[in-house]
Amino acid sequence: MRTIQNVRAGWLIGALGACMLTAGLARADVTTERPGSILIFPKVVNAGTRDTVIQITNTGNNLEELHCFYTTSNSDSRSPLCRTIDFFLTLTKQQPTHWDAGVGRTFDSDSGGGIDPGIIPPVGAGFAGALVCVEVGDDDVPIAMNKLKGEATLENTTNGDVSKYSGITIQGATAAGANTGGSDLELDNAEYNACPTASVFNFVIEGSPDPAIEGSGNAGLCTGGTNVGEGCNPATELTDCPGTGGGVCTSGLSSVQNVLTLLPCNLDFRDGLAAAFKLSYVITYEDEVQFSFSDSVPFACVATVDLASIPNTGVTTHGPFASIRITAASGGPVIGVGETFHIDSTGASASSANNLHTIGLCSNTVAPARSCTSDADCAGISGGSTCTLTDAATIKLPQP
Amino acid sequence: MAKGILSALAAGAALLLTVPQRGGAQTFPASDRPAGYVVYAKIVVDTADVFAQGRRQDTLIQLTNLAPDQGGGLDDGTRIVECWYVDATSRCDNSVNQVCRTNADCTTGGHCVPNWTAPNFTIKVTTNQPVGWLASTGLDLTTLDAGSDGRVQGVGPYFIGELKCLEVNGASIVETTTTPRLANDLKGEATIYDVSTGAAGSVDARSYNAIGFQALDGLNTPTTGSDQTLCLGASSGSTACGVAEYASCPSILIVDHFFDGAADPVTAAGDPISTNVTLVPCSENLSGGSGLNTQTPTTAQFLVFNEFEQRFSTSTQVTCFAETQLSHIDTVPGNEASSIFNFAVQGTLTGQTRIRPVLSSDPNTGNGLLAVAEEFHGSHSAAFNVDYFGTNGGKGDFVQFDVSTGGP
Repeated sequence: MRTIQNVRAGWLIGALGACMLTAGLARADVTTERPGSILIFPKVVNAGTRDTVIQITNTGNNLEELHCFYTTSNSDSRSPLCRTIDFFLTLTKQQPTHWDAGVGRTFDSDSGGGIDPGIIPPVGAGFAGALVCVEVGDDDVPIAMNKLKGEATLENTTNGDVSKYSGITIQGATAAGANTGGSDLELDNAEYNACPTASVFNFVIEGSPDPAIEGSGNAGLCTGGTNVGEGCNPATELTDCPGTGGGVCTSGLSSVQNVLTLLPCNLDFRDGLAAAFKLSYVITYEDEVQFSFSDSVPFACVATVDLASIPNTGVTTHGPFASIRITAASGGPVIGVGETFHIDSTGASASSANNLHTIGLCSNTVAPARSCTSDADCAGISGGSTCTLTDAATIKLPQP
Repeated sequence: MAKGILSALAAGAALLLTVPQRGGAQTFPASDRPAGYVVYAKIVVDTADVFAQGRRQDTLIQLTNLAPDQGGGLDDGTRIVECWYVDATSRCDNSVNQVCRTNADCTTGGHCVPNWTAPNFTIKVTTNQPVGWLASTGLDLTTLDAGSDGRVQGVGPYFIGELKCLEVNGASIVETTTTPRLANDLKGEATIYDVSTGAAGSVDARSYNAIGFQALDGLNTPTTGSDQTLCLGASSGSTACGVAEYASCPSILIVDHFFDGAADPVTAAGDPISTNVTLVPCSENLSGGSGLNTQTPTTAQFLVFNEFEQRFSTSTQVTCFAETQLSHIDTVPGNEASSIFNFAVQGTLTGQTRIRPVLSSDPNTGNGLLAVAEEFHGSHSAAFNVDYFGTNGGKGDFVQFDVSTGGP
């Protein structure tokens, strides 16, 4: 009798514990539109003519302490070490704050900055890396409150061009005891949500003209008249290219450039060790033609991937639209952001950024694995298959 | 003994929770994962520069079907997609062909009045296929490959509104039953362009992700007996939506933004920044006739926090589509400096605004809201999706449609 009671009690406690942990995890992967306990900006730039404005908000009604890390590759982008600096922030209830990554914040020096969240170091010139912020307690020990959100605005300091994306958040389990408070943050769907198995980015094929610029913008150049060599559109060539011999405008001279920035979820801020990772890509064109490609040399710290560098991303005969699926071939899961530069015939450029969509992969499939959003997508695979939406990873923090 | 059992069970529970996460639908809308119903909250076309603003405007729409080909005679991943443009373009009551933004755009005595319509189209997209089109010109999908079908009509030369797309059952665009397919295969993006031509020409672009509502069972199997009402969450006491079919709308939208008039902290010129927010209802009657024009207004309450932790509030109403500069929510144009969304009032560069729809007591009326934001730095801009917090509990939203009578 006593044994049965023990078993019942054990089941009850086990089930209760499981329910508590599950309840604490509202979603079991990363998100770009709900507050979380780990906030990640995969792309922060202070290089050339670009700088980044960071916005972070405490969406809760309690004080929030943040431990933040800038991380970037060494000058050799495939070095085994990353360069990392850290700092702490304090946000009062519901407080938003901001800073210019290239300038940082000094105490009470920022006009229009509100309550000072703390000193924030500037990233040096030439910085291209990531920012990761983690909720911690007064004792700097990680806790999960799921109250952080943020945005990054990438700006061209010369012409004022801007693009913006939402910080990626990872929610933690808020149930008592679910977060160990250890300095290894386990992204395993138990302590914190895990990372996506795969991400997808839609793009206009490199080498294709930009459809909207071709439609209404400077798609070409005047070949005659008083504005010879100036920008024009065939639909308005009589006004764009006036004068004797004018009225003729070429087209097809606009272009696009797509850049993906990917950050491994396995991050080691304790020892500064780079997480070497390789990526695999599957490109699908609008006529259904597919190509796949994998990196032969691993990235370290953070990967900046110009789609033009990936074979078969510029096959214009397959149509102007395509999508690319990114998965980690080694080194654990990655998260990222995509940015597109829209360039007209005169070289004027505008950027736009998008958060990547996340999907799963069917187990038991040979590369390239089948994409999925549910187990039903994995039907018919020999030996049975399920849809794996997330993979585990670890973020290592310095000891408090 | 008991300790051993407890340890074993605890370990088992921990193991259970640490295995990779498998398929499961999300109960919140999400702009970063595929869904069965996607909403592009703002589509604009002005290729003729109707109001002489010195630029032409168009929107590049991208839609991807991520359904895999399962092979072996199983699901080949082809999907039928039913879409609706929600045309929120206003027109002058004394000149029906004259589009307008305010009464000032109409000839003397005319009033600018909304006249919402929802033209629809059906397309067939093949497995993993990404398609794209300019809102102004549309797309003939038969030109893409043998498996694609359907035609997207252009909505130019002037248009402002939304685009909503839904996975439905069927083998072709003419054989579709228009029954919602409980699957989550669609993702989308919209890029809004402001361009001009000539020697002083310019280009600006801003992009956001379509907002997706995942079908809740995610079984990727056909359903039958559709009442052509999508239930975004469940409503207690509702006749149509007692059970949720798709993710619920959020109870609070959170927008981080610069206060209007704040100087750009990065550029040397310090261009003033302003933010526009587009609010659209989750519940919508996309049926033909007067469906959209009888939409129930929802009050949206705004809580605004500056970087001093101070809180302010205001409210407005949203019926079918509301696009506004933040400062114009509580002031009229020309009085922006008096707005609680303005840097001149708040004194800090950035703020957090929480937007909460006020719920009615009618179980058959939804009040959820969705939003996208656009940030303008002088003549340059960026767009972004907003954050969500909570759902409206026992108050769901309803999307009604009737393909047989809804189209042109």
